[in-house]
Amino acid sequence: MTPEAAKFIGAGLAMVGTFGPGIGIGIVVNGMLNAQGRNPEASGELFTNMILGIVFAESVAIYALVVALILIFAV
Amino acid sequence: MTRNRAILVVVVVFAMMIGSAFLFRVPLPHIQLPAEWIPGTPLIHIPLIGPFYITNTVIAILTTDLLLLVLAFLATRNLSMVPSGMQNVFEMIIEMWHGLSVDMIGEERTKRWLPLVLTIFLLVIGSNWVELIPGYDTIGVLCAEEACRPESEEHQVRLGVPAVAFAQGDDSGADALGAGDETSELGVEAAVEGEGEGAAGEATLFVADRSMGPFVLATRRAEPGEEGYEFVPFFRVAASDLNFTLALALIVFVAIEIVGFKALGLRYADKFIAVSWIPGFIRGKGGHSRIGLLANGLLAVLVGILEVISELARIISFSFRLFGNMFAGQILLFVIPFLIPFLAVVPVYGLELFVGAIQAFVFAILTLAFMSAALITHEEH
Repeated sequence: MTPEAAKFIGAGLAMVGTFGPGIGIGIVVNGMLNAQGRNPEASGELFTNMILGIVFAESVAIYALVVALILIFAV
Repeated sequence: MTRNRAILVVVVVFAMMIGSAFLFRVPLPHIQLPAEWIPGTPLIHIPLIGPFYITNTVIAILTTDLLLLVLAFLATRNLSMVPSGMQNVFEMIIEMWHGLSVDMIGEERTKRWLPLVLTIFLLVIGSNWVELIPGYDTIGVLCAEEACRPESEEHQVRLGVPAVAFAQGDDSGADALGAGDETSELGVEAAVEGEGEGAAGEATLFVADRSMGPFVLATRRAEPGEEGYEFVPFFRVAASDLNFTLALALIVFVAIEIVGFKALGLRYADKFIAVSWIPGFIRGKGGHSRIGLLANGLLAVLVGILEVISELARIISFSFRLFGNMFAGQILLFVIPFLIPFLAVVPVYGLELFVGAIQAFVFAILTLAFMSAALITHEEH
């Protein structure tokens, strides 16, 4: 296996790490929808908190993406 | 009847999308992590720091700054009690952030730190949105291989004291300067030709197509024997340059530490280097066993070390979150027209708009959130 091929396979494997954040974001939005159902008036503040939660979960996916990008472009 | 017509429109659009994939030859663009040097600008050696050259992200940030200054001027030209127009927009933004900031870090600190938070927000959202103007990343310079390297002697500018020479740090994969462009219906490229010939090598070379009058297009990649040039766009999203995001992350890190120290004094350092339990342990605080105090104390030291690591990881997280989102968005915007030239980019464009705004918002609000977290003391006993 050439290093080139190993690079790309590694990049593909690194993106498996986006599994978790995907589920995590789903859980965050689930909580938000439940809370909105119980208390529609607090939607604005709940939305802000939901965005924060989504961003935290997404950063982990971004870490995986960065590893993949480093493998493809900078190794 | 209108339902049938709607179906007909959808079918026609899909047919055009698929047809354009065969009709238009959009070259696969060259994507690289480091920002590209603008050929022709000098390479400046700053004493004690090293070489510095003007990249296309620097130019993008400068245009963003200019744009923000112009908008600010327009907003404050005729200030009135009942705002309208640009003043209204800015008042909305400032009001939103002022409200959030007072909630999170209090009235006093808001006066001191809100300008920083707003600057971060406006700068990041400005530089993310200005990327979406057609012409960004597609208008640039076609330069031959030699003219694309900043290290060639004629471009060097040395300031005074001999500089500390850092290795350029380019790996073999990244020494090809250039980025692709697409001849989709969105834009044509104006390009300037460099001298010499391009060798095949590692670079992604495009053939200079001069069939469109004064404009030189890069419409396809060069075959190994052909004369090709590298493409360097004039502008590139500032946040896709890790230098920019890292600089912002470091500024935010320093600001958060300053907030912590100003609010708590030296007890803030106790969060990281836990020594406040030692006097209690030596004196043998009444009611607690010595061993218990020691155990708690050592635990606090360990937790302190973890806190230090988490603070430093925050820098990485801040910078890479913005970088990853913008860089990946750019790649999407490049690659999708390569696959389907007609119309398929439009949803991605909308996503980029949304993501750019959200990432700016998140950067600023995480600054506020971590500042407010730095104000909390952990009282144990």
